[in-house]
Formats: sequence, C-alpha cells, structure tokens
Amino acid sequence: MEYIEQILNLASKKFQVPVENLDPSRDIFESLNINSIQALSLLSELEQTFSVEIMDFELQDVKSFQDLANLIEEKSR
Amino acid sequence: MGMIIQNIEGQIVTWGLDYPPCNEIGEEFVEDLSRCVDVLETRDDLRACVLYSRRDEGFCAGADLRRLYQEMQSMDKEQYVKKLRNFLQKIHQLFLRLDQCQKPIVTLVHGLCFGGGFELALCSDIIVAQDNARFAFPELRLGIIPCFGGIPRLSRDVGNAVVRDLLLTGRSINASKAKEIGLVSQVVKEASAMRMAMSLAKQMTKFDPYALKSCKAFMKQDLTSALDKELELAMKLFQRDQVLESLQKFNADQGPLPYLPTS
Repeated sequence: MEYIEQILNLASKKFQVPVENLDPSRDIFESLNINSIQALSLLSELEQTFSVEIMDFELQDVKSFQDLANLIEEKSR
Repeated sequence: MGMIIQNIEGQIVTWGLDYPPCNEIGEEFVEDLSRCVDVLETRDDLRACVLYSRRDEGFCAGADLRRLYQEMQSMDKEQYVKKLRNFLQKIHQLFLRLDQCQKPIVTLVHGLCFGGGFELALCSDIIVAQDNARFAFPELRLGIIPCFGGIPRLSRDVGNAVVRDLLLTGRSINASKAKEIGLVSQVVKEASAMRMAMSLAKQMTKFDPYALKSCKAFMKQDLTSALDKELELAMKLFQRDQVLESLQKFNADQGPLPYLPTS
C-alpha cells in the first residue's frame, strides 16, 4: 500500500473521520479537526507504523497529508 | 481548579493528577502535591507510590504558562521577579522531596510529558511509558530553559549528547526512543499500563525498607550545585523582554498548534 493510503487510513481510524472525506492535498489540522496534542499522538503512531523518527520541527513544512507522506517516504529510504 | 486523587492499595499509594486541561503546574498543583508527599513520608504503612495522570491529553504539559503570563501582565517587573523566584523555589523544594523520597516512586506517563511535566517525571525512580507518550523540553522555544531541576536530573539519567539534542532542538521523542536512551523502563499499551506500574511498585515493597532507601540515596547523587545554577540561569532568562513576548504569543494561541514548534 502506498504511504499516502496508509496515512489516510491511519488518520481516519484514529480520529473517526471517514477516509473518503480526507483529501491528500488538504491541510491536516483542518481535515481532522485536531489540536497539537492530538497531532503529537498521530506523530507517535506514524513513527511506530513506519519505523521512522520524525522530529516535530520537520512538521513545520508539512501542511497536507501528501506533504506528510513525502516526508515519511524520504525517511524510509 | 483540579485535584490529586489519592488511593491506597495495600502498601502502595497512587496519585492521579487531574488538573484541566493537561495538569499544568501552578501553585495549587504544587500545594496539593506537597500534601500528598507529606502523607507518603509520614505513613509507615505506605512503602511505594505510583504517580499518573487522569487527563486524556497526557501526563503533564508543563508549567501553567497562561497563568504565568497573566501574572506577569498584572505586576511590575520587580514584583513579578520576586514572585517567580518564590514559586520556582517552592517547586524546587517539592521536586527535591520527590527525588529524595525514601520510598520509591514509579511514574506512569501517557501522552504529553513536556517541560515541567518531564521534570516532574524525572524526580521519580522508574518511568513507565505508554506507547503514545512523548517527552520534550521545549523551553528554548520560549526563550527560557527548564527551571524545575530538569537539566541536572536528565543529565543524571542519560548521556550529555542526548540532553543537548533534546534541549537545543526542543524536539519531542516517543516512548520507544525514550526506552532506547534509557529514560524509561518499560513501554506498554494503555490496557496494561497501570498494572505494570503497580507491579513494579509492588516488587519494590518486598525489600527491606532501610536497604532500599539507602540504595536509592546512593544512586541519586547530590545535585544541589547544578540545581541552584539552573534556577539562577532561568531567573536571568525570564527577565528578558523576549520571554514576555513569547509567553504573550503562547497565551494568545487558541489554535491547534501551541505544543508544536512553529517557524
């Protein structure tokens, strides 16, 4: 499964948002309606799922799910 | 307004922190926790403690920065500096009591364990982390340093390179990383977290109390000089105008990002 698909499925399950409502190009916070504490929880789960270490400041340039997928893919190489 | 729910199970007392939104440390918190420590220290039937959070958001997000900012606003600088020093000294005294308590303390961390919350966890003897726990010293983002004794206590527990990484980047690390660097003893799922913490505490109650307290005292070096230096440096940094501006920004941020670093 592609990174973006896995991320959308994970976020959908975690925050109870139908996956079909999650647009890869849209802002993560707006799409999921989450705060930073919830975002950090998502970060932990992503790190475990993909076995990567994501530094929170790397998220400064991450706006959309696709941005996040690109970051994780880069770290997984 | 919040409280600490204290329960006794055999020889173990549990302290459940419950200060909305995420157990931010203010004067009420300090007074309540001090009273709990009084109970642990004076009751011979209590042999160990488990400290945990009852807030979904996490263990503790740190100092009550919003309250701090409001107080800074309402006082002139001289009054504020005096009040801040007094508050920091009270916290140092409390955290020292926790750190040097003759009875072992297990801290169960879930979610956010940032700043002063991380410093609180570092006072305990064993940290058990739920798999969603994250640890950070984000203080540099505000132009200050950890000022509740966190730097000397973290330096005692992990390598200096790790301390520099966490302090100088302000980044958070997850529970697995925390275990990898030797900060936490166990990483557990939510369902078994309290059972693990209690199991560790119970194990420690099996030993001769005098031997245990002697061992603990031997393992926890005297950090007085470093703690004093940290407090003085924190006081110096707090008096800069940049800190007031940072706190103002943090206070004004009602959006989703206050605990994430922003450019």
